[in-house]
Amino acid sequence: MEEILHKTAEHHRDYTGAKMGMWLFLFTEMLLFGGMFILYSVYRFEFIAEFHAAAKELDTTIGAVNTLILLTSSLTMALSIAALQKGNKNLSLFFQVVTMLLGIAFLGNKYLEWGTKIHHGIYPNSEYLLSLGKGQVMFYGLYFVMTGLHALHVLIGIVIFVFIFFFTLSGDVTSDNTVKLENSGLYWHLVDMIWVYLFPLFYLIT
Amino acid sequence: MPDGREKKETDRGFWKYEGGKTGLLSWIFTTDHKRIGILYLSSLAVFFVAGVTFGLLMRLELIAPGRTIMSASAYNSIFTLHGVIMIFLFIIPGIPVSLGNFLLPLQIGARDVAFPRLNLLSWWLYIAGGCIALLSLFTGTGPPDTGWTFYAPYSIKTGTNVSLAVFAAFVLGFSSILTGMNFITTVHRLRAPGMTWFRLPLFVWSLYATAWVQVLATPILAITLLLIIIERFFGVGFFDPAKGGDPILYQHLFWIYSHPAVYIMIVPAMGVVTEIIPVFARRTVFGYKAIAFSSIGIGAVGFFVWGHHMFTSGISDTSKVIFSLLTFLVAIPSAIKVFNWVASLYKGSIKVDTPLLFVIAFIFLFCIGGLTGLINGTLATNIHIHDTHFIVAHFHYVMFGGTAFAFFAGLHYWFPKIFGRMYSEARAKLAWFFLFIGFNVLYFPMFLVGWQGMPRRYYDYLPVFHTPNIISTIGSWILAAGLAMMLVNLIRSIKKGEQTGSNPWKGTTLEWTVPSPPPVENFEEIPTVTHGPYKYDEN
Amino acid sequence: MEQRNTGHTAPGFKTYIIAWIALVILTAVTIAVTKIDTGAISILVALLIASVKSGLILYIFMHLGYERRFFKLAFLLPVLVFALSIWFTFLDVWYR
Repeated sequence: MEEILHKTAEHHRDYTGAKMGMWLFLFTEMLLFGGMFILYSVYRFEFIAEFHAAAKELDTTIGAVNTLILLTSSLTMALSIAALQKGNKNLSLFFQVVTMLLGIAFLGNKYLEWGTKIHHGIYPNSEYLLSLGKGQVMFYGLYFVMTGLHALHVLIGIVIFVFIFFFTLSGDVTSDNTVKLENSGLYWHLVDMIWVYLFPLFYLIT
Repeated sequence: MPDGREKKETDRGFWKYEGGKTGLLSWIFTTDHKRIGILYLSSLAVFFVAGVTFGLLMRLELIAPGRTIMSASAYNSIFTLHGVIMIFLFIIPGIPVSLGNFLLPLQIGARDVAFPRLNLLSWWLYIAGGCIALLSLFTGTGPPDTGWTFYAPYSIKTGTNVSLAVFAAFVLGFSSILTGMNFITTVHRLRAPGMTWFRLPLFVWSLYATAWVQVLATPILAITLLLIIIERFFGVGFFDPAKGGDPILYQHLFWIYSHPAVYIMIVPAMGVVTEIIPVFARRTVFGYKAIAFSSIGIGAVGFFVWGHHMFTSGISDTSKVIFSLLTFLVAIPSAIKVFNWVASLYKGSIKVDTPLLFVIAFIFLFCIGGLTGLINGTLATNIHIHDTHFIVAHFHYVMFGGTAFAFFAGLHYWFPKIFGRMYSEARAKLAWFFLFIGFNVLYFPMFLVGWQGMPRRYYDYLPVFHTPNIISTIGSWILAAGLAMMLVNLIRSIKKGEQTGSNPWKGTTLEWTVPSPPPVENFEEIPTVTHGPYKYDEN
Repeated sequence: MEQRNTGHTAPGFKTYIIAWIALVILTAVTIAVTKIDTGAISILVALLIASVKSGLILYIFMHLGYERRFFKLAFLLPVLVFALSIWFTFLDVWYR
């Protein structure tokens, strides 16, 4: 950062500045989840065997499918930016919609998965869960809070895309002003990236 | 201030320009960093007065052993409120959002911050957080009584209105993050041509270091506070040993944020001090780079000393030793700053005006606070003084004697720039005198009673501690009188003070090159910077 | 990743699709590895693969590889803060 940037706030857009702001925000998101990962690591260290047993009860298939969904949505997200940069607005809009739909599919899956667990009497503070022992209580506590917090972020991402979709439609986001789309993309990728860690840490404990 | 006396009909700069809106709307929907700075300054003042009032009530309760003016539970609520207001609503946002907002763009030669609208949003979040905190007092099951630290498991089990108060702190954290993001981006992107990193005023360096701490530490607080709310509503059990949880982990998470937060509070204050000393010593600052890097150093090491708040909680001995060692290390960059300040004054032509008086008080009080910090950080003595009034005295010396005095110094120093008028110097000095005396009379006895074993956070104490407590309470009245004098003098001078020129102190940083008060877009033409910030050699 | 452009230009469709294929393969690998009992190192393997995956996402999808140096260096800060925080927490948990 040795170069001196001759920038002023004179009403022209600062592309790098906007990106910088977004990345700083992403750092806060990383550390928000970081706090949960600290909890996770301590309790996993404390209850190695119990975590193993509890993780067996999670459906790896649903987890894997959801991983695929999010990875694919990251791809379509990136493609929608590339399409817009190449000037193909309609293709970009198409990919944005696909990204949104994949996000919704992810949440649908999550809903089914949570629903099954709750149906079996496994939810925070349930009598059945408490009877399973401390390690299980911690595992499912972490599971519900961490995937819940993550799902909340997916939901926020979908809402953001609704706005971006209309921004693109109305010409607020254009091929030479993609920074809003790019920043929403960054957010979406980060949410994906967090899932990349959540998946093995909850579904693949051996 | 000979040149300040020139009677010039200054136009009122940004005070006049309403940006197409009128009256109050031109303030609460402004995106001008100067107006937002004023918004913050006035809201901070309101919360500060509230916090002081609670503090005075606590001192009044402690004037005699046993019940004096309030019940034990009322006292618990009052000290929680005092802490929450002073920490989250006054001293953490404090200098960056008010003086920082106003001066950062001016000092780097920019027209505004990088994200003016986010800046306004952060003020709105701040106000929202403040209102939610107030709401927690009057709704639900009574004001929170946990102390500002919200320690689990009590914060999860208590019947009082903790969730709302915690949510307020969460919102305030968001506001703090936005300010941090904004300042980092501003410093990177909006420096004037020629304003290289080592030509930045040191106040800017301190704000930059602080902004990074805000961005990197606050999210951990956010998740910790969210977890309290989740625990209260769903009973997951993360901090409940009966369910397999570990209450000490709460303390870890809490202090992973809240210790760096201490540096969010003090580093900008050090920046203000560094800014004032060269102006009143008429000398360039001694060891520019050492001061700049020590800000970064304090910020960095400060992240990893959090365990010293937990020496008696049952954490492992290994971690105690390491945390204690790091605590000692963080004293090094702090001491570098103190030595540099003193060296900057050495052989200067010192002019003892009010800002410098506050700065000197800062150095004195901060040294006491800092050195007693080392006593706290020593493992063996910590066991003796943990949770006593010694700790209370220590952090008030650092936070009040340090940060707040530097804040007052900055207020007096930049007052003519912000308002275009000068306060009464004689009254300001008198107020300073009362503040300085009152402060020491109030807090010094706490070191003594704390050392003798008087615990904090109790509304009652053994009769043997009676005399020092009386002295301390009397000190609180002297201090309050000093605060009142200072505020009255400043507020009165906004309208009635003598008009000043653009540069009454003959400062050399960029903010003194524009008229007072500064015009809307700060600079008619963005300046080109050709030299460092403190150029006094020709004097 | 042979498609990688230089400077600030963003990667094209092809790069993205290759990255996506790599991510899918890595997901398959991480699931497959759990079927083999690798014992205590399984968590390390899982985290290693996850980190390679997030590296791909960061580098290609999030363009970190194409950004100016500030972004790359700044990214290290939250990672460092997180890693050290967890380490210091474990200094307590481990030796308690």
